[in-house]
Amino acid sequence: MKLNFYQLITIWFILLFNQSYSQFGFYTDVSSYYDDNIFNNYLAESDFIHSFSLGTEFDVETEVDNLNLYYDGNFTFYNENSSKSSGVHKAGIVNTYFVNDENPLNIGVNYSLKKYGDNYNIYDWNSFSAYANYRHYTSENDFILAGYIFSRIRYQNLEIFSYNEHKGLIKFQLAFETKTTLLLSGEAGYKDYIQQLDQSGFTNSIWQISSFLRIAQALGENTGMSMFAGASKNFKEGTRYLSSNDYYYFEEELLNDQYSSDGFEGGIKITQLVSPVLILSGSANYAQRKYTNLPAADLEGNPLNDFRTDNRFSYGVKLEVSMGFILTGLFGNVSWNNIHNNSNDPYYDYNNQVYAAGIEFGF
Amino acid sequence: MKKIVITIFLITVISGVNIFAQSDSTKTKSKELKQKRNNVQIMKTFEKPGKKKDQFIDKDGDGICDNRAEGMSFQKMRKRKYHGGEGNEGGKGGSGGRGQSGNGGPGGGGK
Repeated sequence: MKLNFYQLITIWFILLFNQSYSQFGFYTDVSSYYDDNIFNNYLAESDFIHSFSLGTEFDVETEVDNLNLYYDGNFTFYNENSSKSSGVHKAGIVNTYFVNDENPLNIGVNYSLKKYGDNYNIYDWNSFSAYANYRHYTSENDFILAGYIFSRIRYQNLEIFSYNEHKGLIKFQLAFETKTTLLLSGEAGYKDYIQQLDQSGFTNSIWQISSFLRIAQALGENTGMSMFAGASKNFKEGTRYLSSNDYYYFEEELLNDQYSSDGFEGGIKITQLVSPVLILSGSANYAQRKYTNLPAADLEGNPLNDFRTDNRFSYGVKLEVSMGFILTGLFGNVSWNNIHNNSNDPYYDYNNQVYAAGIEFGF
Repeated sequence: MKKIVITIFLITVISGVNIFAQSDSTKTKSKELKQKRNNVQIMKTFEKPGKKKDQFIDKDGDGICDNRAEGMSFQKMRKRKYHGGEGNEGGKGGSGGRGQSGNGGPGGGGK
């Protein structure tokens, strides 16, 4: 009896599932928020935004592997600025192989796409990512992790901004008997535009390295504190911009990514477990972002002989509640966040408050 | 036609075996696997007599022992959005830097 390729694949899948333990998961999340400055500039246009997310996953577990297939979707609706509404879809597959039955080696791929409303569809994108990472535990809570991520991001309607990205990272975590947990990480990223342009004023590639330190400390059985500090440094020119007659077309949706600026940031967060089902947290952060090659300008567009630099202060509080007494797997949260962005470019000198409430359900 | 019949036959037989075996072999394997992992953890506890069974674990880095929040329910929800990704595994938001309202850009691998 001769079997063709498709028959063999079918039988292989059946045998694979036959020798495994499978599990299905689902979650959904609905949240609404009032944002008093949706475009993050001095004009301070406000809107109500509603967000709906859902995700599903399927796990197939064998003796040493866990194969995970997943889909995540998110839909965001703006009340007043409806064309800014968008949908994001992401599907992926990742296999986790447990070396020595405890150290996970993850290898995965995923595909995502984002679609905006009619007036914003110029910013539609899709991306493909492949990644691998290995976490080696040196004790119960201490580990070292190394990983690599490749991404290809394409803007179908703005092909000049499509790019490939390579990213390498390393992390160390150490836990101490004083109930202190220390996390140290380093990352190197390379953004390479797909369309290479041999013209002055156009960036073709960017390097960035960054480091991050987080110290978490228990202040009692139900109180915790977390502090972090991070710094990043760009090499080569910076992000690609479009310019014409001394005007730079800087669109935050498209260009305000991690490579557009470097600088440092730090913050503190206090978390209080009010009861086993209620978590209250408050945080305060500061970040300085220096835009590598984006000139600052006054409100009329006249250049100010300096590159844009932002000093951003933000703080907020959040209350999370587990509502298992109503339905197992049901969670709720409310939060308030305030941002003060002090910039040498007056267009980006703004305040922003966001009030949010959400409900999440998963099994 | 013959091939299709053979394929359907194979799928039916193997699936039938699978369903029939669900009550014993698959579950037993899973049970054995979990038992094996439990044993590994128990042995580790024995190997480190200095450590208490109720160990302080803070994987999410908030300074609070993870298993204090209602039987790990909070942690379970956070884990659900992980999928083995590490690093700046944006995907849904990237680093748009626009506060909560930002749509951000595309992210990297993982999740």
